[in-house]
Amino acid sequence: MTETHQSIPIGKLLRAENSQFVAGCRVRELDTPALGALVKVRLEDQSEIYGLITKILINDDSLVRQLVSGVSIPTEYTADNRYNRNLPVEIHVLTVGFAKDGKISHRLPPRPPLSLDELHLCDEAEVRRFTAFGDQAYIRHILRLVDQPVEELLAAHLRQTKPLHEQTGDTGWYAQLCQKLITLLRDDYPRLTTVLDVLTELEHE
Amino acid sequence: MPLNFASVEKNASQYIEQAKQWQLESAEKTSQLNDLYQQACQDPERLKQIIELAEESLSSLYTAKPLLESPDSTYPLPAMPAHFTLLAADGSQIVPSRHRALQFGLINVGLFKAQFGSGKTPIIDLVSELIDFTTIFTDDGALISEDDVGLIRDLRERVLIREMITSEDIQPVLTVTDGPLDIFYRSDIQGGKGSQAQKMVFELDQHMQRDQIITAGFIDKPGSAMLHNMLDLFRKAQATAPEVSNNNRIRISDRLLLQNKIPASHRSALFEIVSKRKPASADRLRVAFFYLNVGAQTEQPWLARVEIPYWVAQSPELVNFVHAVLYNDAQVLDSHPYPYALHRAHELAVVRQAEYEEVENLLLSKFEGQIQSFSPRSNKDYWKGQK
Repeated sequence: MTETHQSIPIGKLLRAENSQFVAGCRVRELDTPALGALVKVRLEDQSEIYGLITKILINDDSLVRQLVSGVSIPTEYTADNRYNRNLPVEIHVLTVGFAKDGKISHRLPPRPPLSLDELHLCDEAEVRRFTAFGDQAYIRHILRLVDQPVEELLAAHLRQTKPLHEQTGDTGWYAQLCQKLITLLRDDYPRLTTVLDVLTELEHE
Repeated sequence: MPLNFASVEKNASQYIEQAKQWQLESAEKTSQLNDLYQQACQDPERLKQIIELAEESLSSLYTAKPLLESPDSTYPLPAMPAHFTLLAADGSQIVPSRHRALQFGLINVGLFKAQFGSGKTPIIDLVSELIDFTTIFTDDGALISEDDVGLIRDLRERVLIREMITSEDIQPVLTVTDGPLDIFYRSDIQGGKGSQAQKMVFELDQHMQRDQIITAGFIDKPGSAMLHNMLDLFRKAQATAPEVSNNNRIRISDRLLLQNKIPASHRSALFEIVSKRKPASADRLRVAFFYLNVGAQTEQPWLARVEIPYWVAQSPELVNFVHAVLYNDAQVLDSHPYPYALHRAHELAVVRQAEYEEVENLLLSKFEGQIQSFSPRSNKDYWKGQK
């Protein structure tokens, strides 16, 4: 896949493994990334690793804990802690696929990205291309997550992605994805019920 | 190897007994000095005269002299101004070591500027400077000491904090550094470096005074015994002064003497630092100070010494400004009250071991293989670095 002008750098990698990675960014850069958004990291060999933001974590340290428990602080010092201090916001990303030589795969990449690699937010065209590829197999990575609000992540992802496909007249994408979810969750009735509940909520928005 | 705790344990009891005895003697001496302090405060003018007489007659002196306020008076927290600028600077350093492959010194100064009332994010800066290669050796070829590097750092802090002030800064402007305002306390400085540095500090303050920029030195948990020294002078001049234990090894710090006299958020009276030593320097900053109880509760007093230039001490309005700003800034970190701005400057400036080694590697890499003229890192230092 190709780099587009609209992809926005939102952070740099702190740590990674094949199935997930964590990037750090400053609070000033936090207005762009959102839960469920599709992001990517480009490797030195020009291949790209794709992921979904599963968690955004605001770190603390002993000074922040003191400020929280202490007297009221001036607004200037709140800003100092948010924007000046070296406490990166952590963006946790679930790997959902990769692209090599322009070919997309919804499997895990052979190697994880490296620390300090740049994390980019994918633009609309790229989101459409990646999520419409094949039979939307990337969604299985989300369903594999444990101890995380999978339904909420799905809702956040679909709320961003569904309108992008509808804008280009692709109304079948969402229906196909729902069918995919039903297939994947056919043996897990309680979970399927919750997911369908989230999808219903999404359709009524 | 960990500590040999059995060996420490063997001596611990004796150590504790000695410490307890020392504390008992200190408490007794504090009580005696309190009586003497009360007596001295009854006639502040006489006390002042005694110190001025000592100033004329003694060649070496380090004591406190009351200014216009009664020495036993305290002053409540003044109102905090809504708009002002607070700057803080703090530095750390790498001291050249003969054990390393390359001898180098580095100064790292953290700067923090907050413009209160603006709502703006404070400005931070970090200035890292290698000390010139020729400067890291003394005249007799030895490496400069930690005190020498500390002196360079203190001077840079004062220069850089001045350079950070702009005409756009919200007035009034208060700059604060950690430690005494003058730098006479670095007793190991050789040659004329000490007096040269004092002259620089003096000239910097003259610029500050011209621009009405207020400077302050904040000394947390101060250990000086200027009031004890002052009371010694008073006692010697009095025929009927109360007796004080003659164990001169026990010096009662001003902090201990005043801690139950200054309520939370109050400050003490103003004093001037009287410091005479040889060689005397004409161009020296005249420094005044007060003790500030930065604690929020009377039951837990925590005294800091705040040093200000003498010209600031002449203006009650400016003294109130320093008092209000530093107390309130320390309350931001109220579990262990210490000015937030200074803490941030320190946080910026700290040089860690990994960074020390990075700088050394950077310098070594620039020799491009021509490093043979330098001796490698010492074996002792190598093994110290192994885990």
